[in-house]
Amino acid sequence: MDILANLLHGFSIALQPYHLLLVTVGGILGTIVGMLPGLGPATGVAVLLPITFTMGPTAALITMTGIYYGAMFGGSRSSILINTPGDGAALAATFDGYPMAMKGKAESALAISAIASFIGGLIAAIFMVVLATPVSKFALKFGPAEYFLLMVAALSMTASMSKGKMLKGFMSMVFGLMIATVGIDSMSGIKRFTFGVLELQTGIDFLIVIIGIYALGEVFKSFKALLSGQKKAQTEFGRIWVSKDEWKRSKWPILRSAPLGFIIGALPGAGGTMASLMAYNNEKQMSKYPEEFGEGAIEGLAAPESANNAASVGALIPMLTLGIPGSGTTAVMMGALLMLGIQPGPLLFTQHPDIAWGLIASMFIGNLILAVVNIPLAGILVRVLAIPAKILYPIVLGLSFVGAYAISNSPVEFYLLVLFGLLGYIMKNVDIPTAPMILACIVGGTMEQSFRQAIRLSDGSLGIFVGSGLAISLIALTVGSVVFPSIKARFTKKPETVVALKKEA
Amino acid sequence: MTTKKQTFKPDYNALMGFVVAAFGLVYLIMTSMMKRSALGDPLAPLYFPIALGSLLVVFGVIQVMRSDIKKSIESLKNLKHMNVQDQKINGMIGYTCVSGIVYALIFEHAGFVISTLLFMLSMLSLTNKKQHKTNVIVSVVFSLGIYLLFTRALGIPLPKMPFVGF
Repeated sequence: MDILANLLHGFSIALQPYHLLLVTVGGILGTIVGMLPGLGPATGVAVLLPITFTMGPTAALITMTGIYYGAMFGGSRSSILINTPGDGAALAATFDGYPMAMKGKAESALAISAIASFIGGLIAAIFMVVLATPVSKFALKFGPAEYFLLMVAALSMTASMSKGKMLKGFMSMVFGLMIATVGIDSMSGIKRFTFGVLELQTGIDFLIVIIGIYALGEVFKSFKALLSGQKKAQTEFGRIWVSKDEWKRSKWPILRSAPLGFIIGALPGAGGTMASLMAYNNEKQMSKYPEEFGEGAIEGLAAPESANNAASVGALIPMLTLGIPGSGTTAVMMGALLMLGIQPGPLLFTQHPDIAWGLIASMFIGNLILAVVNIPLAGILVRVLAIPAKILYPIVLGLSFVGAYAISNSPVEFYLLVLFGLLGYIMKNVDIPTAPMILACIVGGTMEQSFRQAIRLSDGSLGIFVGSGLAISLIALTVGSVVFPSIKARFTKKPETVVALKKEA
Repeated sequence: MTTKKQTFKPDYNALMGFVVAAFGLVYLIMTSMMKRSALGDPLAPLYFPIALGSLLVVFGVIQVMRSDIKKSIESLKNLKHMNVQDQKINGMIGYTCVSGIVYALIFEHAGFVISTLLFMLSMLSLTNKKQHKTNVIVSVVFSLGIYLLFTRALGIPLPKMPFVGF
């Protein structure tokens, strides 16, 4: 009853015209920023932060949340239209969203992305209201060992997702973890693999890796189509909506992925990337048509879109209730709140209920406004595909370089961008999946820290990694993620073998 | 013979395994040469990289063992007979990389607008040949538009042109 009263009080704050305006403007700005390669939610919130300095804490937090959700929506738009995710969380949207656009189904892709994001965000907001306290308590049970094992599970699931090339998937994963080891080691201060380059001391930003691999790699790959005069993109568009059949295929993946995304998002550091990739992997494993994944399967887009928006809501839980940011974006938001004199944490809900419940209510409203804005806006954005490829590719290249500069304020990143562009092109040519590398690159730093913290806590004993039921469950999940696809492949191959033998006979 | 060349599907899996294993080995050697930590366990910053290097060597060796070495050698030999289109694509990729490097070199000296204008012109002249008027318009609009968006709307500072302050 208390929850309902608090929520109604929150709505009375969030529905004030000034706050409605802020969440709408923040959402639109976030969508635009999120579409630019390299400017995902974290960068979007960071660069738009100055506009909130003159506001009160409630208004500032509502605006930042609008930008956050807007950037999540926007990141997927560029994933679908130009195969360039705005940030890591929109990565999974490239797997099937871009192939859908290439097959002339951009309208369905954009519509299902907005619908899935809306539903995912809405379900997560309901969970936030009901489960905020228990979920944060559960996330607190994750010690360094469990946290390390969670990341191992997520990485092995992503690597094993590469059907028929699992070994290559694991190679890609190790490459990503290696990239994450570059820079000054935060626990000892030792420089690792910096080669005397000052800019490498702070490490390689995963956004540079993403932009290099996806934007530059994609342009390099597209040179072939450019030379042979192939015209893949559709130039005329119909109504931005989904058919009944497409909705039928998408509804359960959307509903299944939202709780998953919410839980993953609530775990500090896990975030939207892991949530969306796990949701994608789950759907691929469960699907009746796994062969369509990567070729434009609508559920392959709907599931991660629902999960990553749900994760963006979930990520606010540890920040609001524990004072621990659950993602890069929430870290920026927490920094802004501290600047405004608000200390996020358990006392926030009792000392500043206006802020806490006003924000939660604005999640419902923000999601609705963004869905309403994004579906008609998608009709304009989709025209990006009508730009001739010979002009679009240099623009993508230009945006990539500018995005890289915005991340670090150093043109040294341009060299890395070129390097990763070439690496992405080579990996595509030798059939090495890039997704495990990207995820490993994002979680690598935290993963190593958790591993070392666990070892330190256990005085060097590896027993800590099997010391709790949660740890054992995560190990089982890791083993299962490697073994299950192999068993599934063996069972699905059997009938073919029988048919082949019969034919021979 | 011509038909054979046309239908030849390159297989670099064994070669890739070698490269991956060699990379893992180099990474391990570099890890062993790293400074030791003065705080706590001196080898603590090395454990994770050692595990990664070792894993990559193992994965590389497995890849080689599972692949057809002869096919990889044949694929390498076949590179000499690369068709004109593939040569052109490689040339375009090389040109783009060089343009990116030149862009990085002049970026802070010439300022965002000039360096981006030159980079865009260079790239557009590669992809949109002979359409000079369009290329100039797109380059100018892009470099000025992005400059204004970033510096005015988003508040992200970008290098200014020398003497002009823009």
